[in-house]
Amino acid sequence: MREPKGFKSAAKSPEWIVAMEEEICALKLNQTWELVPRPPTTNVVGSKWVFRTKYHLDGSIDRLKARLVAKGYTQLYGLDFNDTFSPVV
Amino acid sequence: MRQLDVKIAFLYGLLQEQVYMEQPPSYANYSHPNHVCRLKKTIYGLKQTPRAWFHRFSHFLLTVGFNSSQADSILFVYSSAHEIIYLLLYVDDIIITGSNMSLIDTFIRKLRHEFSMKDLGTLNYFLGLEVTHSTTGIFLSQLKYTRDLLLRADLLDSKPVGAPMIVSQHLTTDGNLFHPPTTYRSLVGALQYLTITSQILHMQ
Repeated sequence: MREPKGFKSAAKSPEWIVAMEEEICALKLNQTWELVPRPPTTNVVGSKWVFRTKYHLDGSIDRLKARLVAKGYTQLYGLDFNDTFSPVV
Repeated sequence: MRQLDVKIAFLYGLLQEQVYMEQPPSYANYSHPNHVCRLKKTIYGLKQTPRAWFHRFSHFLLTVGFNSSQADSILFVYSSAHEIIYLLLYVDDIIITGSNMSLIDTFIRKLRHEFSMKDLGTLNYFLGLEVTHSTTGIFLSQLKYTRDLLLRADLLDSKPVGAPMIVSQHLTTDGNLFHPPTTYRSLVGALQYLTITSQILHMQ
């Protein structure tokens, strides 16, 4: 199965919708964020879906994975991030 | 030697900065479609996510008695009067070894209480190095890494040669560029990694 590029094409297949719902559940369980009214002045980074097929060693499909990612390239230094160095990656 | 990996490692980081993010595409809250997400924890893609994850994990290790090695900050050492545990962290991959198996088990239980982990059992493949265990010790090799590299370069069926390049070949700057460039760069990087690790293996 081809990996969809964005939400629009993923929404056409039930398997990818399940994957997205799993990710949303995991993020809720993790209490990653809280919903707040849009702040009038500050930066808001975009979010998008990334879709990946995970395979077993024998090449058969393990599972379909949908990951919500922040568009980090819209972050502004000093505003929504400061130090980024890490010894690994 | 045991190997573990942390599931969804990057979601464990705690955010120091105030970061707002748009609601997930097409999963906006029904009653508040124009609200935004104020992030409390890190998410994949943010600039500070890898750093926040490393901080969270290393902080946990320090609280349970480990010290970060002076020589290499991704090596953590626990030592008491009679026992020692070594832990090596590469992003979300972990290898653990030490002097006492039951002490290691106790520590892994603590680790699993804090983070969701997958126990991969005895170490057999880490960062491109294959590890084979025998009664006399362990054997390290890069057979699988090299084979995977050949497969990526589409050279799996090519014949090996003694000299890597024709001696009389003159290199010029014109001619067709390798396409796609990303594959070329990634192969060069992989070859460099292969040569660096093989030097270390030869020294041993």
